[in-house]
Amino acid sequence: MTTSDADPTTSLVAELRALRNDDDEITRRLRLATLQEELLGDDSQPVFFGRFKTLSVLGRGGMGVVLRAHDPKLGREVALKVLVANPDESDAVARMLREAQSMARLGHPNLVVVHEVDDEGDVPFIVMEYVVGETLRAWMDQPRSWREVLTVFLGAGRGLVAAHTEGLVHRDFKPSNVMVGADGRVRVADFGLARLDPTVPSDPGEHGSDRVAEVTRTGTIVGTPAYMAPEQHAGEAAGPAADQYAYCVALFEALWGARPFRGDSLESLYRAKQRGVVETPASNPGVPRWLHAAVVRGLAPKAADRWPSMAELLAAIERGQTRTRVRRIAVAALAIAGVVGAMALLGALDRRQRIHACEQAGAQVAEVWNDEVAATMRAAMIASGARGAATTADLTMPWLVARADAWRTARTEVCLDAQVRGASTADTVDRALWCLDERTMELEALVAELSRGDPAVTREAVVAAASLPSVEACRDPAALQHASPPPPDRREQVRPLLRAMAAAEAAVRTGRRADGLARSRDARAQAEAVGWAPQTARARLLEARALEHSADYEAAEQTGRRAYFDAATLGEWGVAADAATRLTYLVSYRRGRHADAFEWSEHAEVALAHAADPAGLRAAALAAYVGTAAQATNDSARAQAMFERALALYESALGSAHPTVANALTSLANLRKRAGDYDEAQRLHERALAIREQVLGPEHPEVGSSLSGLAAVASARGDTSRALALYERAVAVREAALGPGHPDVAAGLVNIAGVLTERGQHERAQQLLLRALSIYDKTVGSEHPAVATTLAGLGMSYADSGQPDKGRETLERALALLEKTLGPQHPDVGIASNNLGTLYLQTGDAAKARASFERALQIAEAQLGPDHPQVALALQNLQRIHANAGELDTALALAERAVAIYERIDGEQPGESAMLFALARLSLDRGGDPRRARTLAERARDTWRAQGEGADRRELAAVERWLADLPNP
Amino acid sequence: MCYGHDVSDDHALLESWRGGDTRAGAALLQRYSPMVARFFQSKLGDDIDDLVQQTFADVVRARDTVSPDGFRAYLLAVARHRLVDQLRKKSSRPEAFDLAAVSVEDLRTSVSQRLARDERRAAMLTALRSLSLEFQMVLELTYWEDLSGAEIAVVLGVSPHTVRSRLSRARAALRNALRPNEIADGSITPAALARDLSTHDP
Repeated sequence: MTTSDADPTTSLVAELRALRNDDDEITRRLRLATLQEELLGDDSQPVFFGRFKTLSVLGRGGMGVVLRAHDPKLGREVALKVLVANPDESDAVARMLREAQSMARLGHPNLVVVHEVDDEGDVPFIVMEYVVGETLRAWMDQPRSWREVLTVFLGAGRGLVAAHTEGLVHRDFKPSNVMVGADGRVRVADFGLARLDPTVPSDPGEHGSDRVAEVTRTGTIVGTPAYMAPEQHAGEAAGPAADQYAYCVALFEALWGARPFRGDSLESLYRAKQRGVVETPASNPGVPRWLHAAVVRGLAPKAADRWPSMAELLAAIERGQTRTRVRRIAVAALAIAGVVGAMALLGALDRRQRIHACEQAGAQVAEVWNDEVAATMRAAMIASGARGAATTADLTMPWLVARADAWRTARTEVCLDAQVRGASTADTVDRALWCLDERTMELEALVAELSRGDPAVTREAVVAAASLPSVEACRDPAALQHASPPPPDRREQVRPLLRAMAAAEAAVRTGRRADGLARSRDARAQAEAVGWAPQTARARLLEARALEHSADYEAAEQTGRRAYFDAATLGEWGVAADAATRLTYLVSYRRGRHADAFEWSEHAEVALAHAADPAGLRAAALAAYVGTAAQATNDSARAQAMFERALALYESALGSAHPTVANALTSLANLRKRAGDYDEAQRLHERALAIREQVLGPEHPEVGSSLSGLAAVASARGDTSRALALYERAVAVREAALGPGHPDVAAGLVNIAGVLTERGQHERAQQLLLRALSIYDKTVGSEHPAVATTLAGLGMSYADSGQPDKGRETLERALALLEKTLGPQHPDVGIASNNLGTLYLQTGDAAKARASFERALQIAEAQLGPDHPQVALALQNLQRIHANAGELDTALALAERAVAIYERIDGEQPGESAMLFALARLSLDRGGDPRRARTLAERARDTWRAQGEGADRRELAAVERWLADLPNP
Repeated sequence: MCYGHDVSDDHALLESWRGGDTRAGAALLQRYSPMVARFFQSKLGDDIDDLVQQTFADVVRARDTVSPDGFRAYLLAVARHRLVDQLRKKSSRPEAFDLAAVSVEDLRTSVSQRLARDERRAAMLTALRSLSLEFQMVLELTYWEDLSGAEIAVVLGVSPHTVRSRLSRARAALRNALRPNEIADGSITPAALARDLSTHDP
């Protein structure tokens, strides 16, 4: 082979050699792990990044690889962006991580969520939401109408606007960096190249020095050639205008199927962009001219000639959409009416002015919601000092923005219906405008509430914002017919009353009990003074809710009842339905009168048949509460059906990422857990947890509830270490969010103590229980069911740690309190009876023990169903009493029933092995099949052996001895 | 040869793997999976995990003995069968390399250098991929994997003599595919081409 440098063959070969593409270290490791698992059945070496177990490769880029991974901590799938870079790229990596952190703070429905950034290990990585769906690139491969294209691109555009508002620039926007979720939501991803916008003035102290550094960085080039703005080609700093350019290239491509500029090389591509002459293919002649003009303006070679901002580009597109819709409908109307063309021409100019006026009417929403109001609210929320307040503020904002957007559209459309399309009657328009007025008052009142800077209010912000009444109902003619606006001459009189209502509603919604009650009473007084009966009924319902929040359940019931009958008499069926629905819950869950609750649910059904319920939210709430009542009466089939119905209705009305959907999932999960279906329970809790983390933020106390639910499932499965870890995390979240003296923290401590007791760590368990009791004493008082359950736990712990008398006394106190607060047939009374029975047995009081177990069995069978673990446990204990008394046939029958139940339940139950061994002995004694006895004993032995350290040594030794003594078959 | 281990070792490992020794399997996977992955990737893109897996599975399942020309050649021959199968199923070549749709990351390299290098690299890749599969394979196996002519003959199922002539024609075809640009900057002349044909001896 020749060796001269000048030899073209050597140079060709060298270039060819350099073309060899070696996988980076991470790809290589991942591939090897997959191959070992698939070919050698060896899954012992999965590749982990931090706690994340990788599942597959989603894509590769210049600076890293994107993986699908499993997060065992939260039991969900995530996308990991692992940064594999050369040492000389450490600046770039550091910047990427910093930008990812900015993204994590941002949180917007049209941006891929960044969960966390890990730069602790050798390989830094970014943990992002795993979006089920396709890339915009793949989506664009299908033929799409220009209207579909706009819907998707407006979503992506809003994501960019949100980023720009925070001073972030994407710099590599392109169709393959945008995800179109299976849920229809569009999310901009991969802000890996994002950098701070040098033109946004910086807060001194925050990012200040970073920004200066970014401004002075020049001579670097970033982006994807086809989508890069000319200034990026030139290596100049790229601002938001570069994102606008890339967005317009992609939009152009989506509309016409080809990019606006072409070139054989980068140089010629750059020149074409500098010339700025766009060749528009004739492939999609249906695209309107205004849209072409809007996109082409964004492709101007000079940034100054483009739209002033992404937001203005989007506004222009939205205006165009509205005009097109109007024209389409107007043309159709003309065709039908057969009006001569001349008349249409005559009205054309006037129509344009009217359309403009309608847009102005829609823009009125800025009076209650604008950048300044938003900034003030955000600052107040952060200043409240609530844990994770900045995250909460960021998560709250999109709900309010969406609400304001919806209002703007609805107001414009109502105006267009009236002024341009002539499509609605004066009455409908009047009702619609009044409805929209109420919605702005509610928005304004909530924003005022959130701007108070109260930490407790801040915590409720997302849920309160997400549950504002829908604006869409104001455009639903059927729903409007059900509304009762006051006669025009009384409106000015009624308006202050509505403001008072909205303020009261906001206080109740954000959990301010005392103020909520005072304000709702004030609103009712005003309504009575004005003499506007429908509002009086509404105010009364609000008052009932405030009373319920203040735990005055009796007064709440009375007031709610009055609200229902007043509303029904007036034919205010919406208010009546809401009142009866609320009473269904209150009377069952808070007052324990389930039969009455079902009666209220029937009233609610009747009212609902007359009321407007366009989105199905009223039906959803009713289903959820009927489910709660059904669960309380152990009608699990009905509870299941109702919860499923509620979930389906909520999901279709609110979308899948909504706090209310998470609540519905949690109800269903608890029900499945009670039925012993642990896999499904866990799956449902995990879904709820994922939603809560996403929409409420990871530090929200509701996240603690989901963790607790998961822990309870783990505990029911016998996985105490997982249960303990999850309960401890739940308590940590609640302590941080609510303070160490909150009753929810106490409830968490009781849960931990339960697991510790099961593991024999009694001293620690007792400490926690005493701490919980002292919290309860200071908050809910000493006569609360929670105090009873805590005492019960404490009693068991005393008994298990060698203090049976102290244990028995404590448990007797607990049982008495439970009967008093929950009623004599409550499942918890059954559990306490069972536990007390074991203590009587220990202290030698067989008669009392037997009575306790019989009571436990009766309650468990009646309340929890014949196949519940509690039934098995009671049978098992009762069996012991009979065996001790020498009544072996009775004992054998009871033991057989207990084992049959255990065999039907998934997972190893706490007393199961002991029961198997006892049955083995009993059945052999009573002349049963020795082979079966052996099998039973062996199963018990194997389970104990498998438990290792945690096993009961004495029991294990006993079963081994017994098996050894057994004559061979 | 770029592999610093004894080739006869590969045979022993394969026999152990076929006998059920998973540690031997792990060693072979570690040693050769990057090469097999590269073989598929240059022709099919990133979605190749199944093919790599099937190739190794075929090798373990087969009872035939490995030729004295070595395990690597045998493994790649199996990979080639899998590739041909796959292409027959897909019946279309992967889309041309679209430089404009790939991100340029900002690095220390000066802008013009970086772009020039990427452009040249893209041109080379496009040229390589425009060649027939047989040409592409003979070039890659020679210059990327450093296989001998005898080994390549096993992989492609042809005589060593055919390999030699095919390599020459492949290089010429590659240059030809690059030609419009090359002539413009005058770096390759017909004379150079002639010399190359006569001097290279794999």
